[in-house]
Amino acid sequence: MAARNAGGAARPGGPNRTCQFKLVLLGESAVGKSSLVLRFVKGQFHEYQESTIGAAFLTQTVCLDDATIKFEIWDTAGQERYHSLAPMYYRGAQAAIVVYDITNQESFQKAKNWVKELQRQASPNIVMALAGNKADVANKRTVEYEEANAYAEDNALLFMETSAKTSMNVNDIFMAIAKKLPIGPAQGEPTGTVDMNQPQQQQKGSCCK
Amino acid sequence: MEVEVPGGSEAVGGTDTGSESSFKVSQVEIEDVEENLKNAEAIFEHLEQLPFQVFILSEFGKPIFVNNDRNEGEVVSLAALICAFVSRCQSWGDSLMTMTSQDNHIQFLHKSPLIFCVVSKYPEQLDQQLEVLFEQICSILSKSQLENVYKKKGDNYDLRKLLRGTDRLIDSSISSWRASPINLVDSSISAIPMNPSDREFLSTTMASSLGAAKLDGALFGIMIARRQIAAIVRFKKYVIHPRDLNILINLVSDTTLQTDSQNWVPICLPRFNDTGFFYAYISYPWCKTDQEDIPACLVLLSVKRDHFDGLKEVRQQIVTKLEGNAKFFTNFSQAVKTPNLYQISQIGSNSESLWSFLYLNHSSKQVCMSSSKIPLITRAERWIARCEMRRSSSLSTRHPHLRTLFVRGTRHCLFVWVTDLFSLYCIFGPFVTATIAFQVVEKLLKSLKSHEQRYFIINTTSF
Amino acid sequence: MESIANPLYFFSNLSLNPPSCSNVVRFIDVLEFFFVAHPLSGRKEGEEHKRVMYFHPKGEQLERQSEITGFAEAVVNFTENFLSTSHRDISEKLTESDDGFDFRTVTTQRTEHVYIRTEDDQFMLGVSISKQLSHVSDYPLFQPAIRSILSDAYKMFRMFFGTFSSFINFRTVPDDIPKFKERLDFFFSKYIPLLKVHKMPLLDHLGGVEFLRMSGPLYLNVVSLITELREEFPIIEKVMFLYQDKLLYYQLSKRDLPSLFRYLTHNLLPTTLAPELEHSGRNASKGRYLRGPTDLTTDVPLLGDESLSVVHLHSEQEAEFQDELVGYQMMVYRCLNATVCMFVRNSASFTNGDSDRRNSGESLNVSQSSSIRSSPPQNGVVSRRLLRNVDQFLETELAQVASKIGDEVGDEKLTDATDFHYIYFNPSSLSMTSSLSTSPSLSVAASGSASTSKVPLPPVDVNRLVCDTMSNFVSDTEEFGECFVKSSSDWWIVIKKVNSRLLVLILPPSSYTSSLADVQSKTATIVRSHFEAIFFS
Repeated sequence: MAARNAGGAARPGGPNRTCQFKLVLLGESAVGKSSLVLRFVKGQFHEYQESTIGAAFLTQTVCLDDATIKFEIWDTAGQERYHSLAPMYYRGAQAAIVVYDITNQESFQKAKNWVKELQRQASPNIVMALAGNKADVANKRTVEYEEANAYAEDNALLFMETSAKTSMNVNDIFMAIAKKLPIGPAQGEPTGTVDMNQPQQQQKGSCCK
Repeated sequence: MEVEVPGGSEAVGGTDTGSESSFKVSQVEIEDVEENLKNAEAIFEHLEQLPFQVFILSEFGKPIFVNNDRNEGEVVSLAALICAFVSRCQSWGDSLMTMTSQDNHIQFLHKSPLIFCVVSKYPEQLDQQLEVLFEQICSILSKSQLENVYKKKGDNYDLRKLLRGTDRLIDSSISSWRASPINLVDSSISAIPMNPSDREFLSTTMASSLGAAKLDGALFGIMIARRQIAAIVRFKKYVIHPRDLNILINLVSDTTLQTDSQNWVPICLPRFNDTGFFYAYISYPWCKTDQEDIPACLVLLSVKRDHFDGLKEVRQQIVTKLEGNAKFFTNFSQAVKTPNLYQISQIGSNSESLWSFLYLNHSSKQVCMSSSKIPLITRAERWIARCEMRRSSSLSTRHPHLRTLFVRGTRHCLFVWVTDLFSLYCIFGPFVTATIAFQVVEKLLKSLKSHEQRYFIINTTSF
Repeated sequence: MESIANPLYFFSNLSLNPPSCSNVVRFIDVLEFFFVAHPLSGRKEGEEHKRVMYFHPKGEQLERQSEITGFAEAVVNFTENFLSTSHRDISEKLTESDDGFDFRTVTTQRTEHVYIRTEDDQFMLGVSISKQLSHVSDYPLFQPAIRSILSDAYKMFRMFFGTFSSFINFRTVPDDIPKFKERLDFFFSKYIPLLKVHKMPLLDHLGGVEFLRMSGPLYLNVVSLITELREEFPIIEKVMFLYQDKLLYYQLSKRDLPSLFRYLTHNLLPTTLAPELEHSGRNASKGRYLRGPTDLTTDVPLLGDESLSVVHLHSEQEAEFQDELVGYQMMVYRCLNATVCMFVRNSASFTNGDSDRRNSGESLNVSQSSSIRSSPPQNGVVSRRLLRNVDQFLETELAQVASKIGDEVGDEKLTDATDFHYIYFNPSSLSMTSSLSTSPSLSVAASGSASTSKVPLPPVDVNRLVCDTMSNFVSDTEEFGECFVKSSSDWWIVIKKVNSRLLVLILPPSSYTSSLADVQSKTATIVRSHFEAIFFS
């Protein structure tokens, strides 16, 4: 996707375009999804963040080179009872961050399941990132960096260990996703797949209006 | 005495009555420096202890929720005992309701597949409170899912897995029992006092925005603040039951809900339909933003899960229109930030003897409670007043033929008047005579009637 | 063991079957079960049923008896989990010298249970009332009243047979248990079926005693008569003086008063006097003993059927003291509608029924040899000679006083019919009058009218409202209070408390009492005309 800035391709709209992307966070309950979002959007962290109920929707804009990228973030609740609702959020999403807790091996297994599900059900162009959160308590780690990294490589996922608490790699992971997102092709260009069930969603692959 | 009944004649669905928070704002906290009431201290002590100990378990004896700090072992054995008691009565072809000892009341409710149990010093309406908890759980899982889960997963299933993260909703439901003088039982709404024209503007704005969006399945729009309703609009003739509104209020009043995000929450409203889910679009447009901090919450309800974007648009429209009307917006933010409850002095002369009242309209199911007034200012004093009202309300529920109650005590007088159309609970000073009490009450009703648009939601706009 | 000396002989069938319009209900008509249990006896696994000491209905399966009593025990244990520390202290301090026993109640969809724990919580009595049957009988279920009824039943047993602990004490031979069961069976099998409860449950709950109001001088006559009696016969320790079915004067512990009064007015007097009333006039002026020997001329020891019954009463009159129960022989002397009960302390060496602990200076739970209890009644302290002497003394003195009382009573219109219903109760004297109470057969025959009110009885929901209002809004601890309640049927209820004295007025619908102000003034009028003396004296 580095072709974005490749010279020659005319980009509609000129410099300082705004692009919107739908990004969804998935992962087991209590791994820190809300904390990551809170850190990214508000720069805050709460030690005793309450469980998310339903899903929370927030936006955050970042600047990347000469483009302004607006993330429309869906922070989903990780509890079992909401599992069946997940497709509602990741369908039509251009990016997904699957989060696990490095001190919780089970959450890592669950993260793998999410990845599988996304690979099966979500858009084939979706940009996926794996975030190993709570890196600040590395002394209690049960998931090794190498293990997760290898898995990420095998599955073409971005991977970073993050800490919402210290803010380590939080912005970075979003920026990394932003860099991978397709900002470029003109409107109207047909894309690979169009989900017929989501008439209201934005066209895949093209963000700028 | 012929009275015009203030507060509307049509049911509108409602919330529970004004809670602690609305009082905190509108009165001055006076330190109870000296003696005060002897009882006050004791009662205050009780307030600090846990007034309601709740146990929720499966009918197979497994604990699901407790709100007190007992260790796990104790909880497991208490749950098993509760289950045993309930089963024993069942084996006798009967059904266990309460146990009491000198000063404790224990209420049981068996709603398959769950058993609810609450222990409290306050016996009033414990059974209804448990029903509310049951509905709270149904709102999270839906009744049909709740019933099926044990069939599918066996008796030993730990429901806590499905209820993860909702403890605080149940906790806050329980806390609201104490704050509310007449419990949610009465299924009543309490309106934020607003200028009639402001409420009208708010309602029509919400209704027109929802109507214009033509989202087939969007049924309700509600503006909530401080556990009270500012406005409610509905699709055609659909109604939302006060108990369901309670559940919503409980959800949105949870201060830990992200106020900076918009939320999309699946919620079952049991009185509306206990098998399916609504999707609630919840947002706090002016909460803790740079310019404002208005604790108002806009809730838009739809039965379709993909209406988020549409409702997001609706909300934007509503917010823009409301903010566009500067006069309205100033009034509205004032009304929400510092609710202007009914001041007893509005009644006029001779009203000094009236210290507090609570008025409930049975047809529209709306409640109006007076703002705090000396000498019922401190927490302990207000608690005493609330207890009196709860006790009378409870008496009235057990004896539906009760019409008038006048109790003269050494510290205050209690006057209760119940008709088919309304109930009125008043606390007067100790020296009031029946004649004066009646005069004041008559004036109060007239006053409420003439200001009813301010203190009640008389018409709900449909779209 | 049914002998005429046994007081229970008189718990016979000579009671009224209340008509449906009456103000009482047969307890057995609403009762589902009643039990007496001793939890310690049922501790061994497999032997839980042994905790059941008595159970009604008799035919109930042992397994269910065990289930029911086990359930009660479990309720007690379970509720212990929720006493806060401060309340734990309070409940520990709760003793029998207080008004009530430690209790639990259980409500189910169909029934109400009440359990009380007596004697250091070693024993439990329990009862279950059917909601359906209560509804059918127009009986308003009021838990505090059921509790009082249960306590009264226990106290009545205790009065005749002594404490439960005197039968069961693990220091004694286990054989006592059969004896205990037998006594319980003997007593409750008669007591329960005959028990009537008021449709106004407050009356049972307050548990007062009906006093006869008298003029000052006449009252002094009575007092001096009793004083002289006791000076003359110092062996007499306690006395009660009744006229017809009302109490005039007493010298005994207030705690024993309600049970004794009830026993006298509901059982002893009606059964022994029925013949007298039937043949009124004959021998009416001659004083006689209602129990014991008929022939006083000899000095033969009092044995068997001629023995006096023994009742167990509190030895001290002050409520503060933790006192024991002591056996007293009871002499009941009657003349011209006046009844004098005299109580003589029973000595340890001669026993009738349960023994007297006082003489040996031991406490209540002293070990008993079963041989003493099972032996036939012996001669007590009271001899035929004493009876003769007392008879001589009272014959003239009592006749004089009694006839004066009779004159005064005849003059007053005691049964002034009122257009309202009332209950008056003074907790310090236990004096209670009401237009809603039962009239024992005595006064029915005498006065010819069972009701002192020409107003119909209040409907059951009004009765219920009275009780509920009382328990919610009239504080036990406050000395003053006032309450006005109106129901949709237009009955008004007024509850007034002045100096701890309680007055309940139940006003039927009337055009004169439609507003609260009306009722307040009507109340003032009634108080002035009927209750001024009582209230403000």
